[in-house]
Amino acid sequence: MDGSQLRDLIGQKRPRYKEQYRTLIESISKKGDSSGKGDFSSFGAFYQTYMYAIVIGIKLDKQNFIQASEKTNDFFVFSQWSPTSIRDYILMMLLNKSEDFGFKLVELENAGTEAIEAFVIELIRQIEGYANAGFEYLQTKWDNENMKFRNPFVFVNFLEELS
Amino acid sequence: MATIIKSISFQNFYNYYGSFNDNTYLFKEGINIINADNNMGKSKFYNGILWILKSTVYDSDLKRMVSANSSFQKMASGKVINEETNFNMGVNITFLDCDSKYSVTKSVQFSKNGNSWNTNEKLDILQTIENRDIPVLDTFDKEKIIKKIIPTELINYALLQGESMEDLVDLSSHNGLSSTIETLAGIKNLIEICEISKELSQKTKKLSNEKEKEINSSNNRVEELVQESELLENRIDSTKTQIETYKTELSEAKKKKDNLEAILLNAQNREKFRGVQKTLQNEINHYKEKKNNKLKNINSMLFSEYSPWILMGLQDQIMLFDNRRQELTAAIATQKVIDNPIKLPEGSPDIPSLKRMIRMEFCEVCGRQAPRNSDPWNHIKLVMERPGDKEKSSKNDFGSFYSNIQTTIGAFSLSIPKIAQTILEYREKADELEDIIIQKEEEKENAKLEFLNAGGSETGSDNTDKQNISDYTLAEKDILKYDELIRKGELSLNQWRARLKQIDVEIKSISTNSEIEKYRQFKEIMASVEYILNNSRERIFDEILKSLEINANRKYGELTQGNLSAGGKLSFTKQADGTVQVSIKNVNDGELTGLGTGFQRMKQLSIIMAIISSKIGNKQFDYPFISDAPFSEFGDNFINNFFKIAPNVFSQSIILIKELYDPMSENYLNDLGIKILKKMENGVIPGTFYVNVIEEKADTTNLVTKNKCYKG
Amino acid sequence: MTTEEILNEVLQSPELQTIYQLSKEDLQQENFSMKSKFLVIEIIKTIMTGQENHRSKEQIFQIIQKQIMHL
Repeated sequence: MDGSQLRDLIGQKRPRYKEQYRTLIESISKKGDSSGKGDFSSFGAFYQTYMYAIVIGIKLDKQNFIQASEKTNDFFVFSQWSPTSIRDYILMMLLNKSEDFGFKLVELENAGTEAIEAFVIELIRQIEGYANAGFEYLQTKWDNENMKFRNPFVFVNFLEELS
Repeated sequence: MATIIKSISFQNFYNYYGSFNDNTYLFKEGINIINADNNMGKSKFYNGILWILKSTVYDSDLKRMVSANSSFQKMASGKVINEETNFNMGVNITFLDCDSKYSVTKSVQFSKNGNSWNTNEKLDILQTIENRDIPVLDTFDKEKIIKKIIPTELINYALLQGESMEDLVDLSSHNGLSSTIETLAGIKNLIEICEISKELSQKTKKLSNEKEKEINSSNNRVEELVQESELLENRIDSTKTQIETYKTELSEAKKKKDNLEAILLNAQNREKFRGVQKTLQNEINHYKEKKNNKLKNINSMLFSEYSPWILMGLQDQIMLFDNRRQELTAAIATQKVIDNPIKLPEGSPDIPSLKRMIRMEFCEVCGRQAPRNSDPWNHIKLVMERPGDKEKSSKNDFGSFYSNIQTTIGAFSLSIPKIAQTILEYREKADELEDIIIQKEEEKENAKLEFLNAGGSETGSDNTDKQNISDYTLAEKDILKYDELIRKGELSLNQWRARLKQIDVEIKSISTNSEIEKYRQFKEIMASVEYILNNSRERIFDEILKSLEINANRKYGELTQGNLSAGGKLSFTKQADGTVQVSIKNVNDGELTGLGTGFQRMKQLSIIMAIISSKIGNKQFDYPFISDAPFSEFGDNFINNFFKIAPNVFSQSIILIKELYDPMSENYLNDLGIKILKKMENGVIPGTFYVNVIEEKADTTNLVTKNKCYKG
Repeated sequence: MTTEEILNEVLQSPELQTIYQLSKEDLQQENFSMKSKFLVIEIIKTIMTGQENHRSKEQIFQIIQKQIMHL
């Protein structure tokens, strides 16, 4: 398998988020609308919200994995996330952690298709873990410090708080 | 002897929370300054005086005077209303008059009844006689004592508030300045004497005519002449009444014209400030849009292609990945070495020989030293440890995947470390825009104030000025019309009077009789007396008017001293309808127009000062002058001049002012305030100096004002 | 103004000199307390005192009528 095949394999995956965060995500995202601005500061699209949540999760160094019993929603295919540079940066951060979730890059070079498939599934599970930890963090803020979302700098402020 | 207010105290009155002792201002002769910013109790202080003197207060929400008893709950301190269920609210004025001391207290007892309040108003007056306080009980006496503070007829001139300055001296109606001059001259009794003489003259005319008819009953000609005379007298009477009506109409038209003139005079200013407001609003909209765009842009900055804020602080990841890739490359290379072992030529040393060479640190092949960990030593070790021949190969090649990632994110290694600074600058820029908007809003608010000061209306449209111009033309036409009617009426009167004289002469020539002569003499004397008395009254009025004009010009000169633009000269002219018109003339005696509101107000203030100081020759005004007027539009020069001349005009003045206030300064005084305080401390300006302060921030209903006495 | 002050003002009226031919010296000697030898001045004084003492116009009229008719 070559690099572009691996990219395609990852790219066709749809990371999931927990159903319990759907309202929050809808509240802070503006699906298909990048012009308007409501009462609260919001992102332009769902996948931006998702990427933001992953970064929050990574900064928290915390994961909130989806349990088998939990209701989830599929997300936009990974290959369609943009900007691609940020998507790749996230991928890079996950690859940096690959040994932590049991995959040495060098071993992947010699692994069979099944093993590669297992790696990609785990990679996406890891992404989901960070994203849902990020959503959990945002949900707490939303519930307890809602006024903070009236500040246009809210999402920058959260990043700074975690720096 | 002047009336001097010794103190004013408040109890739970608006901002003045607490007892009378907590809120007492002690005053002296001269100028008493209370310097306070907006919302620090200036108008509330003034309302205290209004309550005592006129039982009214100015309601700043309704923007008009209201009866105090309809406003008690608003007058009580918000703080005490929240804290207590039973309390007293009140105002006390202590004053000296002809060596007698009085203490006047108006108060309201509040008690809570469910959700509403019961109120009970009281007026207590104490007179101090030989160090004993005697309560005054009689209601009529109480009213008389309150009038001693400031008499009703002078209250309009002694109490100066806010925007009321324009209406202070009514120049166009007969009840205005003319009436004030009559009061000041004390000629009310002379006016009554004139009225009596007029009636007596009419009565004698009737009596005389009756006697003529009676004595000459047989003479038809005399009867005819008497009848004609009576007819003419009736016509004269009815025409006089008509002329009076015309004069009233003329007075109304002039008043309207004057008002509109003042408004139109300011039309230019209004146009200017209307324009300034529009420009500022456009600028505000522009900056708001700019700020909104900037704020809306924050989230796109989070996901920017080149410097995404979302990656702030994550630059280490790039290095980490690079290291990992190097490790991977190294690992793959090692793997290849393993897959392709080093083949040694024939006769090369075997493993035991290589082991020995490593141990001895000596290469037996080339005969040279090979110290431990040196390159030759390492090479020997590598050869010794070379793997055996095995078949191994890599299944995948993800190199392009990793290098693609590195290419995509490569530029971030430079941009991510700068993100924190970029955000800081971005925030600063947004704050700057917000500051500009606030500043522009303030400028717009000031322009609005100027616009309102120039007679603009918040609700009125641009068409108001057009309507005013049309009304002005109409008023001018009315003035011409009534002037003409009065002129014609007076012409007829003169003709009829001449005819009456002819009739008198003719009757006298027909009939002579000693008895009738007495009646004729009676009639003539009474007519002359009426004429003499009326002329005397006019003469006194004219003299007062002249001295008022001289005095007002002196004050006007003093008040406008040092101003860059010349303010002209005040000219007092008696009109045909008996009113007095005051205009500002230039050096060539032409009407001076286009003077700003400041000058117009100084004109009013000069007239007031002249009225007050004219009252009793060289003596000072008898009653305190209390002002809560905005001084700001006059400028520092006027404020300085006012403080210089006021002590010469008023025995005592109490000036509530914000133009000496600076909230940023430690003592709350601006430069002008410090200058004036110094003059007071040095005795150049007599009086006291207070500054109102708010010690704790609160909403307007819970404000608590305290005073600091800088010069007692 | 007091009646005395008003009288002083009235005595300065030019009509007293032009119509009634009173000299300045004559006028200077006039005052409220002393009876005047000039009828017109006495009548003026009568009206003034009448006003001051709140007499009715009819009463004042009667007094003046007597002053004139009894001459």
